[in-house]
Amino acid sequence: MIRLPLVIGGLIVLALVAMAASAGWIFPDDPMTMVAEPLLWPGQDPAFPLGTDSLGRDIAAGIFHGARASLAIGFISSSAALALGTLVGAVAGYRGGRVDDGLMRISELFQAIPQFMLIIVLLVIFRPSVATIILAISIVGWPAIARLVRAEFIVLREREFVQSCRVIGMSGPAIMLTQILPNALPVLIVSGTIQVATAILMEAALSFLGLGDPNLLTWGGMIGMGRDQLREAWFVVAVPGLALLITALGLNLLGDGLNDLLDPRGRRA
Amino acid sequence: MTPLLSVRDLSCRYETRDGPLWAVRDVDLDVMPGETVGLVGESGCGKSTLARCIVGLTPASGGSIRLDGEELLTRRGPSLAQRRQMQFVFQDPFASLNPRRRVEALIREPLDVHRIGTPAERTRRARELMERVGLHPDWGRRFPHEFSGGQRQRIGIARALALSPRLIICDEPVSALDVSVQAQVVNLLDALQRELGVAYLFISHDLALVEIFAQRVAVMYQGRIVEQGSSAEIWRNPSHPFTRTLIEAIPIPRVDQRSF
Repeated sequence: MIRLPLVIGGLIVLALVAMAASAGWIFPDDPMTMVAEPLLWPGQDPAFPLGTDSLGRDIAAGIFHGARASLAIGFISSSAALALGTLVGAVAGYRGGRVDDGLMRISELFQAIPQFMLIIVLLVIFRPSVATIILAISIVGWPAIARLVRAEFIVLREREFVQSCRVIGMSGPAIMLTQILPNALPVLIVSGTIQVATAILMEAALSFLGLGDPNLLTWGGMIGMGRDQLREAWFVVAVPGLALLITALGLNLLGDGLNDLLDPRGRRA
Repeated sequence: MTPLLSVRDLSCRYETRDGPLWAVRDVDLDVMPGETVGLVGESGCGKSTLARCIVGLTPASGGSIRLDGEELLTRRGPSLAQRRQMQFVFQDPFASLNPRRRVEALIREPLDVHRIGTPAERTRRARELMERVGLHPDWGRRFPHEFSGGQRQRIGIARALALSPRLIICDEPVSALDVSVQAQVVNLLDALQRELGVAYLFISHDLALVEIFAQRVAVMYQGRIVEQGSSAEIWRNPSHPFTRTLIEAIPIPRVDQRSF
Protein backbone atom coordinates (compact mmCIF):
# COMPACT_ATOMS: atom_id res chain seq x y z
CA MET A 1 0.00 0.00 0.00
CA ILE A 2 1.38 3.38 -1.00
CA ARG A 3 1.28 5.96 1.73
CA LEU A 4 1.65 9.10 -0.34
CA PRO A 5 1.53 11.77 2.40
CA LEU A 6 4.12 9.86 4.41
CA VAL A 7 6.42 9.51 1.42
CA ILE A 8 6.11 13.14 0.31
CA GLY A 9 6.48 14.45 3.86
CA GLY A 10 9.42 12.17 4.50
CA LEU A 11 11.16 13.27 1.28
CA ILE A 12 10.65 16.95 2.08
CA VAL A 13 12.06 16.53 5.58
CA LEU A 14 14.97 14.47 4.24
CA ALA A 15 15.71 17.16 1.65
CA LEU A 16 15.70 19.78 4.41
CA VAL A 17 18.09 17.77 6.52
CA ALA A 18 20.32 17.33 3.48
CA MET A 19 20.23 21.10 2.83
CA ALA A 20 21.09 21.87 6.42
CA ALA A 21 23.90 19.33 6.44
CA SER A 22 25.43 20.52 3.17
CA ALA A 23 25.02 24.27 3.80
CA GLY A 24 28.57 24.83 5.03
CA TRP A 25 29.91 22.78 2.20
CA ILE A 26 27.99 24.21 -0.79
CA PHE A 27 28.08 27.76 0.59
CA PRO A 28 31.24 27.87 2.69
CA ASP A 29 31.11 31.67 3.09
CA ASP A 30 29.14 33.44 5.78
CA PRO A 31 25.67 33.96 4.26
CA MET A 32 25.55 37.37 5.95
CA THR A 33 28.33 38.82 3.79
CA MET A 34 27.59 40.95 0.75
CA VAL A 35 28.70 39.11 -2.34
CA ALA A 36 27.04 40.84 -5.30
CA GLU A 37 24.91 43.74 -6.47
CA PRO A 38 21.78 44.19 -4.39
CA LEU A 39 18.41 42.92 -5.62
CA LEU A 40 19.59 40.70 -8.44
CA TRP A 41 16.57 38.80 -9.75
CA PRO A 42 16.63 35.02 -9.65
CA GLY A 43 18.28 33.76 -12.84
CA GLN A 44 19.77 37.14 -13.70
CA ASP A 45 23.24 36.02 -12.64
CA PRO A 46 23.92 32.26 -12.85
CA ALA A 47 26.23 32.53 -9.84
CA PHE A 48 23.22 33.55 -7.70
CA PRO A 49 20.35 31.34 -8.88
CA LEU A 50 17.87 32.70 -6.33
CA GLY A 51 19.07 36.32 -6.63
CA THR A 52 20.35 38.65 -3.94
CA ASP A 53 18.64 40.74 -1.28
CA SER A 54 18.75 44.48 -0.68
CA LEU A 55 22.24 44.24 0.83
CA GLY A 56 23.59 42.06 -1.99
CA ARG A 57 23.60 38.83 -0.02
CA ASP A 58 23.12 35.51 -1.76
CA ILE A 59 19.53 34.32 -1.14
CA ALA A 60 20.36 30.68 -2.03
CA ALA A 61 23.07 30.66 0.64
CA GLY A 62 20.56 32.17 3.04
CA ILE A 63 18.02 29.44 2.32
CA PHE A 64 20.57 26.68 2.94
CA HIS A 65 22.01 28.19 6.10
CA GLY A 66 18.50 29.17 7.21
CA ALA A 67 17.42 25.54 6.91
CA ARG A 68 20.13 24.70 9.39
CA ALA A 69 18.92 27.31 11.89
CA SER A 70 15.25 26.48 11.41
CA LEU A 71 15.73 22.74 11.80
CA ALA A 72 18.02 23.11 14.80
CA ILE A 73 15.61 25.43 16.59
CA GLY A 74 12.63 23.30 15.57
CA PHE A 75 14.08 19.99 16.68
CA ILE A 76 15.77 21.11 19.89
CA SER A 77 12.80 23.10 21.15
CA SER A 78 10.37 20.32 20.22
CA SER A 79 12.51 17.72 21.96
CA ALA A 80 12.60 19.83 25.09
CA ALA A 81 8.84 20.48 24.94
CA LEU A 82 8.21 16.80 24.27
CA ALA A 83 10.40 15.66 27.16
CA LEU A 84 8.83 18.03 29.69
CA GLY A 85 5.31 17.54 28.35
CA THR A 86 5.65 13.77 28.45
CA LEU A 87 7.02 13.76 31.98
CA VAL A 88 4.30 16.04 33.32
CA GLY A 89 1.51 14.38 31.33
CA ALA A 90 2.62 10.87 32.30
CA VAL A 91 2.81 11.61 36.01
CA ALA A 92 -0.47 13.56 36.00
CA GLY A 93 -2.33 10.91 34.02
CA TYR A 94 -0.99 7.91 35.89
CA ARG A 95 -1.18 9.28 39.43
CA GLY A 96 -4.43 11.20 39.03
CA GLY A 97 -6.01 12.93 42.01
CA ARG A 98 -4.26 15.91 43.55
CA VAL A 99 -1.02 15.42 41.65
CA ASP A 100 -3.01 15.58 38.42
CA ASP A 101 -4.95 18.64 39.58
CA GLY A 102 -1.78 20.47 40.58
CA LEU A 103 0.11 19.73 37.38
CA MET A 104 -2.85 20.58 35.17
CA ARG A 105 -3.40 23.93 36.93
CA ILE A 106 0.25 24.77 36.23
CA SER A 107 -0.11 23.86 32.57
CA GLU A 108 -3.30 25.90 32.32
CA LEU A 109 -1.37 28.86 33.64
CA PHE A 110 0.75 28.68 30.49
CA GLN A 111 -2.15 27.93 28.19
CA ALA A 112 -4.26 30.82 29.47
CA ILE A 113 -1.80 33.34 28.04
CA PRO A 114 -1.75 33.63 24.22
CA GLN A 115 1.27 31.60 23.15
CA PHE A 116 2.94 34.13 20.93
CA MET A 117 2.53 36.92 23.43
CA LEU A 118 4.14 34.79 26.11
CA ILE A 119 7.11 34.10 23.84
CA ILE A 120 7.55 37.79 23.09
CA VAL A 121 7.39 38.65 26.78
CA LEU A 122 9.95 35.95 27.58
CA LEU A 123 12.29 37.16 24.85
CA VAL A 124 12.01 40.76 25.92
CA ILE A 125 13.02 39.68 29.41
CA PHE A 126 15.81 37.30 28.39
CA ARG A 127 17.12 39.09 25.24
CA PRO A 128 16.86 37.17 21.98
CA SER A 129 19.51 34.57 21.29
CA VAL A 130 19.32 31.04 19.90
CA ALA A 131 19.22 29.58 23.41
CA THR A 132 16.51 31.90 24.72
CA ILE A 133 14.41 31.47 21.57
CA ILE A 134 14.57 27.68 21.96
CA LEU A 135 13.74 28.01 25.64
CA ALA A 136 10.79 30.32 24.99
CA ILE A 137 9.31 28.09 22.28
CA SER A 138 9.70 25.01 24.51
CA ILE A 139 8.03 26.77 27.41
CA VAL A 140 4.91 27.54 25.40
CA GLY A 141 4.92 24.16 23.65
CA TRP A 142 4.95 21.66 26.52
CA PRO A 143 1.46 22.18 28.03
CA ALA A 144 -0.34 20.99 24.89
CA ILE A 145 1.83 17.87 24.77
CA ALA A 146 1.33 17.28 28.49
CA ARG A 147 -2.45 17.30 28.02
CA LEU A 148 -2.24 14.87 25.13
CA VAL A 149 0.05 12.48 27.01
CA ARG A 150 -2.08 12.76 30.12
CA ALA A 151 -5.21 11.77 28.21
CA GLU A 152 -3.36 8.80 26.73
CA PHE A 153 -2.08 7.68 30.16
CA ILE A 154 -5.52 8.00 31.73
CA VAL A 155 -6.93 5.63 29.12
CA LEU A 156 -4.03 3.18 29.19
CA ARG A 157 -3.75 3.12 32.99
CA GLU A 158 -7.13 1.39 33.21
CA ARG A 159 -6.28 -1.24 30.61
CA GLU A 160 -6.03 -4.78 31.91
CA PHE A 161 -2.47 -5.35 30.80
CA VAL A 162 -1.38 -2.44 32.98
CA GLN A 163 -3.37 -3.77 35.91
CA SER A 164 -1.84 -7.19 35.41
CA CYS A 165 1.55 -5.54 35.94
CA ARG A 166 0.30 -4.02 39.17
CA VAL A 167 -0.77 -7.47 40.29
CA ILE A 168 2.72 -8.88 39.72
CA GLY A 169 4.08 -6.03 41.82
CA MET A 170 5.68 -3.81 39.19
CA SER A 171 6.42 -0.30 40.47
CA GLY A 172 4.61 2.78 39.18
CA PRO A 173 7.60 4.28 37.34
CA ALA A 174 8.40 0.91 35.72
CA ILE A 175 4.78 0.55 34.56
CA MET A 176 4.79 4.05 33.10
CA LEU A 177 8.08 3.53 31.31
CA THR A 178 7.85 -0.05 30.10
CA GLN A 179 4.11 -0.62 29.71
CA ILE A 180 2.27 2.61 29.03
CA LEU A 181 4.86 4.76 27.26
CA PRO A 182 5.51 2.31 24.38
CA ASN A 183 1.77 2.20 23.77
CA ALA A 184 1.55 6.00 23.86
CA LEU A 185 4.47 6.40 21.46
CA PRO A 186 2.42 6.95 18.28
CA VAL A 187 0.77 9.99 19.85
CA LEU A 188 4.17 11.32 20.92
CA ILE A 189 5.77 10.89 17.51
CA VAL A 190 2.90 12.54 15.71
CA SER A 191 2.56 15.48 18.08
CA GLY A 192 6.34 15.87 18.12
CA THR A 193 6.45 16.17 14.35
CA ILE A 194 3.69 18.78 14.29
CA GLN A 195 5.46 20.58 17.14
CA VAL A 196 8.62 20.90 15.02
CA ALA A 197 6.60 22.64 12.29
CA THR A 198 4.98 24.94 14.85
CA ALA A 199 8.35 25.80 16.38
CA ILE A 200 9.88 26.62 13.00
CA LEU A 201 6.94 28.90 12.15
CA MET A 202 7.15 30.58 15.55
CA GLU A 203 10.85 31.24 15.14
CA ALA A 204 10.16 32.68 11.67
CA ALA A 205 7.47 34.95 13.10
CA LEU A 206 9.84 36.11 15.83
CA SER A 207 12.64 36.85 13.36
CA PHE A 208 10.19 38.69 11.15
CA LEU A 209 9.33 40.90 14.10
CA GLY A 210 13.02 41.48 14.76
CA LEU A 211 13.06 39.34 17.88
CA GLY A 212 15.31 36.69 16.35
CA ASP A 213 18.95 36.12 17.11
CA PRO A 214 20.70 38.98 15.28
CA ASN A 215 23.75 36.80 14.60
CA LEU A 216 21.77 34.04 12.95
CA LEU A 217 20.36 34.04 9.44
CA THR A 218 16.91 32.48 9.42
CA TRP A 219 14.07 32.33 6.90
CA GLY A 220 11.87 34.49 9.07
CA GLY A 221 14.63 37.06 9.35
CA MET A 222 15.06 37.09 5.56
CA ILE A 223 11.33 37.68 5.10
CA GLY A 224 11.47 40.46 7.67
CA MET A 225 14.35 42.21 5.98
CA GLY A 226 12.83 41.88 2.51
CA ARG A 227 9.44 43.31 3.32
CA ASP A 228 10.50 46.91 2.54
CA GLN A 229 11.17 45.94 -1.07
CA LEU A 230 8.04 43.83 -1.37
CA ARG A 231 6.73 45.81 -4.35
CA GLU A 232 9.87 46.09 -6.45
CA ALA A 233 11.62 42.81 -5.44
CA TRP A 234 8.98 40.41 -4.11
CA PHE A 235 11.24 37.38 -4.62
CA VAL A 236 13.33 38.40 -1.59
CA VAL A 237 10.29 37.59 0.57
CA ALA A 238 8.78 34.89 -1.63
CA VAL A 239 11.78 32.55 -1.72
CA PRO A 240 12.20 32.08 2.05
CA GLY A 241 8.41 32.20 2.39
CA LEU A 242 8.12 29.28 -0.01
CA ALA A 243 10.84 27.41 1.90
CA LEU A 244 8.83 27.86 5.11
CA LEU A 245 5.62 26.79 3.44
CA ILE A 246 7.17 23.61 2.04
CA THR A 247 8.84 22.82 5.36
CA ALA A 248 5.64 23.21 7.36
CA LEU A 249 3.73 21.22 4.75
CA GLY A 250 6.34 18.45 4.75
CA LEU A 251 6.36 18.12 8.53
CA ASN A 252 2.59 18.10 8.71
CA LEU A 253 2.33 15.48 5.97
CA LEU A 254 4.93 13.41 7.80
CA GLY A 255 3.02 13.77 11.07
CA ASP A 256 -0.28 12.79 9.43
CA GLY A 257 1.34 9.91 7.60
CA LEU A 258 2.95 8.61 10.79
CA ASN A 259 -0.39 8.96 12.54
CA ASP A 260 -2.03 6.67 9.99
CA LEU A 261 0.90 4.29 9.96
CA LEU A 262 1.15 3.95 13.74
CA ASP A 263 -2.56 3.85 14.43
CA PRO A 264 -3.11 0.43 16.00
CA ARG A 265 -6.53 0.17 14.40
CA GLY A 266 -4.87 0.34 11.01
CA ARG A 267 -2.67 -2.63 11.84
CA ARG A 268 -3.47 -6.28 12.12
CA ALA A 269 -5.29 -6.59 15.47
CA MET B 1 -6.28 -26.17 58.86
CA THR B 2 -5.90 -22.41 58.63
CA PRO B 3 -7.25 -20.80 55.51
CA LEU B 4 -4.85 -19.54 52.86
CA LEU B 5 -7.07 -16.57 52.15
CA SER B 6 -9.38 -15.21 54.75
CA VAL B 7 -11.72 -12.31 53.96
CA ARG B 8 -13.69 -10.78 56.82
CA ASP B 9 -16.33 -8.03 56.78
CA LEU B 10 -14.94 -6.74 53.53
CA SER B 11 -16.72 -3.74 52.08
CA CYS B 12 -16.06 -1.64 49.05
CA ARG B 13 -17.98 1.54 48.48
CA TYR B 14 -18.08 3.82 45.47
CA GLU B 15 -19.15 7.41 45.88
CA THR B 16 -21.72 8.38 43.29
CA ARG B 17 -23.92 11.40 42.74
CA ASP B 18 -26.81 9.58 44.37
CA GLY B 19 -24.78 8.75 47.47
CA PRO B 20 -22.58 5.78 48.27
CA LEU B 21 -22.92 2.58 46.29
CA TRP B 22 -21.88 -0.60 48.06
CA ALA B 23 -20.28 -2.84 45.47
CA VAL B 24 -19.17 -5.28 48.17
CA ARG B 25 -20.76 -5.35 51.62
CA ASP B 26 -19.67 -7.30 54.71
CA VAL B 27 -18.27 -10.24 52.80
CA ASP B 28 -16.74 -13.23 54.61
CA LEU B 29 -14.92 -15.76 52.48
CA ASP B 30 -12.24 -18.40 53.07
CA VAL B 31 -10.07 -20.28 50.62
CA MET B 32 -8.16 -23.29 51.96
CA PRO B 33 -4.77 -24.25 50.55
CA GLY B 34 -5.14 -26.24 47.34
CA GLU B 35 -8.89 -25.93 47.01
CA THR B 36 -11.09 -24.24 44.45
CA VAL B 37 -13.78 -21.89 45.63
CA GLY B 38 -16.28 -20.81 43.03
CA LEU B 39 -17.74 -17.34 43.32
CA VAL B 40 -20.90 -16.97 41.28
CA GLY B 41 -23.38 -14.20 40.76
CA GLU B 42 -24.96 -12.11 38.06
CA SER B 43 -22.97 -9.35 36.36
CA GLY B 44 -22.70 -6.26 38.51
CA CYS B 45 -23.14 -8.17 41.78
CA GLY B 46 -19.66 -7.22 43.00
CA LYS B 47 -17.70 -10.41 42.39
CA SER B 48 -15.07 -8.72 40.25
CA THR B 49 -14.77 -5.87 42.72
CA LEU B 50 -14.21 -8.39 45.49
CA ALA B 51 -11.46 -10.05 43.45
CA ARG B 52 -9.84 -6.70 42.68
CA CYS B 53 -9.93 -5.71 46.35
CA ILE B 54 -8.09 -8.90 47.27
CA VAL B 55 -5.17 -8.21 44.92
CA GLY B 56 -5.16 -4.49 45.73
CA LEU B 57 -6.38 -3.17 42.38
CA THR B 58 -9.41 -1.56 43.99
CA PRO B 59 -9.16 0.03 47.43
CA ALA B 60 -11.45 -1.58 49.99
CA SER B 61 -13.50 0.64 52.28
CA GLY B 62 -13.27 -1.61 55.31
CA GLY B 63 -12.79 -5.08 56.68
CA SER B 64 -9.85 -7.41 56.55
CA ILE B 65 -8.15 -9.62 54.01
CA ARG B 66 -5.54 -12.04 55.31
CA LEU B 67 -3.24 -14.13 53.21
CA ASP B 68 -1.60 -16.86 55.25
CA GLY B 69 -2.62 -14.96 58.37
CA GLU B 70 -1.03 -11.70 57.27
CA GLU B 71 -3.13 -8.62 56.62
CA LEU B 72 -3.16 -7.33 53.02
CA LEU B 73 -5.21 -4.20 53.66
CA THR B 74 -2.40 -2.04 54.92
CA ARG B 75 -1.74 1.51 53.84
CA ARG B 76 0.90 0.41 51.37
CA GLY B 77 -1.15 -2.45 49.98
CA PRO B 78 0.13 -6.00 49.51
CA SER B 79 3.90 -6.35 49.82
CA LEU B 80 6.03 -7.82 47.07
CA ALA B 81 6.40 -11.04 49.05
CA GLN B 82 2.61 -11.24 49.46
CA ARG B 83 2.02 -10.52 45.78
CA ARG B 84 4.25 -13.45 44.96
CA GLN B 85 1.81 -15.72 46.78
CA MET B 86 -1.28 -14.64 44.87
CA GLN B 87 -1.74 -13.99 41.21
CA PHE B 88 -4.61 -13.03 38.95
CA VAL B 89 -5.97 -14.30 35.66
CA PHE B 90 -8.01 -11.70 33.84
CA GLN B 91 -11.26 -12.13 32.00
CA ASP B 92 -10.31 -10.66 28.66
CA PRO B 93 -7.35 -12.46 27.11
CA PHE B 94 -7.07 -9.74 24.47
CA ALA B 95 -6.89 -6.75 26.81
CA SER B 96 -4.78 -8.31 29.55
CA LEU B 97 -1.58 -8.78 27.52
CA ASN B 98 0.52 -5.80 26.46
CA PRO B 99 0.21 -5.82 22.65
CA ARG B 100 3.76 -4.53 22.22
CA ARG B 101 5.57 -7.20 24.19
CA ARG B 102 6.59 -10.63 23.03
CA VAL B 103 5.06 -13.64 24.71
CA GLU B 104 8.29 -14.77 26.31
CA ALA B 105 8.81 -11.29 27.79
CA LEU B 106 5.25 -11.28 29.10
CA ILE B 107 5.74 -14.58 30.91
CA ARG B 108 9.16 -13.53 32.19
CA GLU B 109 7.92 -10.20 33.48
CA PRO B 110 6.87 -11.40 36.96
CA LEU B 111 10.29 -13.02 37.42
CA ASP B 112 12.00 -9.83 36.28
CA VAL B 113 10.00 -7.73 38.73
CA HIS B 114 10.75 -10.07 41.62
CA ARG B 115 14.35 -10.57 40.49
CA ILE B 116 14.14 -14.33 40.63
CA GLY B 117 17.12 -16.14 39.10
CA THR B 118 19.49 -14.96 36.39
CA PRO B 119 18.12 -13.66 33.09
CA ALA B 120 19.02 -16.96 31.43
CA GLU B 121 17.19 -18.92 34.11
CA ARG B 122 14.15 -16.69 33.71
CA THR B 123 14.05 -17.34 30.00
CA ARG B 124 14.34 -21.07 30.61
CA ARG B 125 11.54 -20.90 33.16
CA ALA B 126 9.35 -18.95 30.70
CA ARG B 127 9.88 -21.67 28.10
CA GLU B 128 9.04 -24.36 30.64
CA LEU B 129 5.87 -22.51 31.59
CA MET B 130 4.82 -22.18 27.96
CA GLU B 131 5.23 -25.88 27.51
CA ARG B 132 3.36 -26.55 30.75
CA VAL B 133 0.29 -24.61 29.62
CA GLY B 134 0.30 -26.25 26.21
CA LEU B 135 2.09 -23.68 24.06
CA HIS B 136 5.10 -24.42 21.91
CA PRO B 137 8.16 -22.85 23.61
CA ASP B 138 9.43 -21.59 20.26
CA TRP B 139 6.39 -19.33 20.01
CA GLY B 140 7.92 -17.03 22.64
CA ARG B 141 9.18 -14.60 20.01
CA ARG B 142 5.67 -13.92 18.78
CA PHE B 143 3.33 -11.13 19.80
CA PRO B 144 0.01 -11.74 21.59
CA HIS B 145 -2.07 -10.78 18.56
CA GLU B 146 -0.72 -13.81 16.71
CA PHE B 147 -2.56 -16.15 19.10
CA SER B 148 -6.17 -17.22 19.47
CA GLY B 149 -8.28 -16.35 22.51
CA GLY B 150 -7.70 -19.70 24.16
CA GLN B 151 -3.96 -19.55 23.54
CA ARG B 152 -3.81 -16.04 24.93
CA GLN B 153 -5.57 -17.16 28.07
CA ARG B 154 -2.92 -19.88 28.37
CA ILE B 155 -0.30 -17.14 28.16
CA GLY B 156 -2.15 -15.31 30.94
CA ILE B 157 -2.14 -18.47 33.03
CA ALA B 158 1.58 -19.05 32.41
CA ARG B 159 2.23 -15.48 33.51
CA ALA B 160 0.21 -16.04 36.68
CA LEU B 161 2.08 -19.28 37.37
CA ALA B 162 5.56 -17.80 36.89
CA LEU B 163 5.94 -16.83 40.54
CA SER B 164 4.64 -20.22 41.76
CA PRO B 165 1.82 -18.60 43.74
CA ARG B 166 -0.29 -20.52 46.23
CA LEU B 167 -3.49 -18.73 45.21
CA ILE B 168 -4.68 -17.72 41.77
CA ILE B 169 -7.73 -15.54 41.47
CA CYS B 170 -9.44 -16.21 38.17
CA ASP B 171 -11.86 -13.45 37.21
CA GLU B 172 -14.16 -15.07 34.66
CA PRO B 173 -11.17 -16.61 32.90
CA VAL B 174 -13.19 -18.49 30.31
CA SER B 175 -16.28 -16.36 29.75
CA ALA B 176 -14.68 -14.63 26.75
CA LEU B 177 -13.89 -17.97 25.09
CA ASP B 178 -15.78 -20.44 22.91
CA VAL B 179 -17.43 -23.28 24.79
CA SER B 180 -15.03 -25.93 23.44
CA VAL B 181 -12.03 -23.78 24.36
CA GLN B 182 -13.55 -23.09 27.79
CA ALA B 183 -13.38 -26.79 28.59
CA GLN B 184 -9.71 -26.96 27.55
CA VAL B 185 -8.75 -24.02 29.73
CA VAL B 186 -10.71 -25.33 32.72
CA ASN B 187 -9.08 -28.74 32.28
CA LEU B 188 -5.69 -27.05 32.22
CA LEU B 189 -6.46 -25.18 35.45
CA ASP B 190 -7.61 -28.45 36.99
CA ALA B 191 -4.45 -30.30 35.95
CA LEU B 192 -2.26 -27.50 37.28
CA GLN B 193 -4.02 -27.69 40.61
CA ARG B 194 -3.41 -31.42 40.91
CA GLU B 195 0.22 -30.95 40.01
CA LEU B 196 1.10 -27.79 41.91
CA GLY B 197 -1.45 -27.71 44.71
CA VAL B 198 -2.44 -24.15 43.87
CA ALA B 199 -5.72 -22.82 45.25
CA TYR B 200 -8.22 -21.01 43.03
CA LEU B 201 -10.81 -18.40 43.69
CA PHE B 202 -12.78 -18.98 40.53
CA ILE B 203 -15.21 -16.26 39.58
CA SER B 204 -17.92 -17.01 37.09
CA HIS B 205 -21.51 -16.33 36.25
CA ASP B 206 -21.79 -19.87 34.93
CA LEU B 207 -23.02 -21.98 37.82
CA ALA B 208 -22.86 -25.17 35.76
CA LEU B 209 -19.15 -24.69 35.18
CA VAL B 210 -18.45 -23.83 38.82
CA GLU B 211 -20.40 -26.82 40.04
CA ILE B 212 -18.03 -29.14 38.20
CA PHE B 213 -14.82 -27.30 38.83
CA ALA B 214 -15.12 -26.00 42.39
CA GLN B 215 -15.24 -27.87 45.67
CA ARG B 216 -17.03 -25.04 47.40
CA VAL B 217 -19.28 -22.33 46.05
CA ALA B 218 -20.18 -18.87 47.29
CA VAL B 219 -23.16 -17.14 45.73
CA MET B 220 -23.04 -13.36 45.59
CA TYR B 221 -26.03 -11.12 45.15
CA GLN B 222 -26.06 -7.33 45.27
CA GLY B 223 -22.69 -7.08 46.97
CA ARG B 224 -23.31 -9.72 49.63
CA ILE B 225 -22.58 -13.40 49.83
CA VAL B 226 -26.02 -14.92 50.24
CA GLU B 227 -25.12 -18.58 50.25
CA GLN B 228 -21.98 -20.61 50.80
CA GLY B 229 -21.34 -24.33 50.88
CA SER B 230 -20.06 -27.36 49.04
CA SER B 231 -20.93 -27.45 45.35
CA ALA B 232 -23.10 -30.54 45.62
CA GLU B 233 -24.99 -29.13 48.58
CA ILE B 234 -25.84 -25.89 46.89
CA TRP B 235 -26.84 -27.64 43.75
CA ARG B 236 -29.15 -30.06 45.49
CA ASN B 237 -30.56 -27.71 48.01
CA PRO B 238 -30.34 -24.03 47.12
CA SER B 239 -31.62 -21.98 50.03
CA HIS B 240 -31.53 -18.46 48.62
CA PRO B 241 -34.09 -17.55 45.95
CA PHE B 242 -31.36 -16.03 43.81
CA THR B 243 -29.41 -19.29 43.75
CA ARG B 244 -32.54 -21.08 42.61
CA THR B 245 -32.98 -18.53 39.84
CA LEU B 246 -29.38 -19.08 38.80
CA ILE B 247 -29.82 -22.85 38.66
CA GLU B 248 -33.07 -22.58 36.76
CA ALA B 249 -31.42 -20.24 34.29
CA ILE B 250 -29.02 -22.94 33.13
CA PRO B 251 -30.34 -23.87 29.71
CA ILE B 252 -28.69 -27.25 29.18
CA PRO B 253 -29.88 -30.49 30.79
CA ARG B 254 -27.57 -31.84 33.46
CA VAL B 255 -26.55 -35.04 31.70
CA ASP B 256 -24.91 -33.01 28.94
CA GLN B 257 -22.60 -31.19 31.32
CA ARG B 258 -20.87 -34.44 32.19
CA SER B 259 -19.09 -34.14 28.89
CA PHE B 260 -16.84 -31.54 30.56
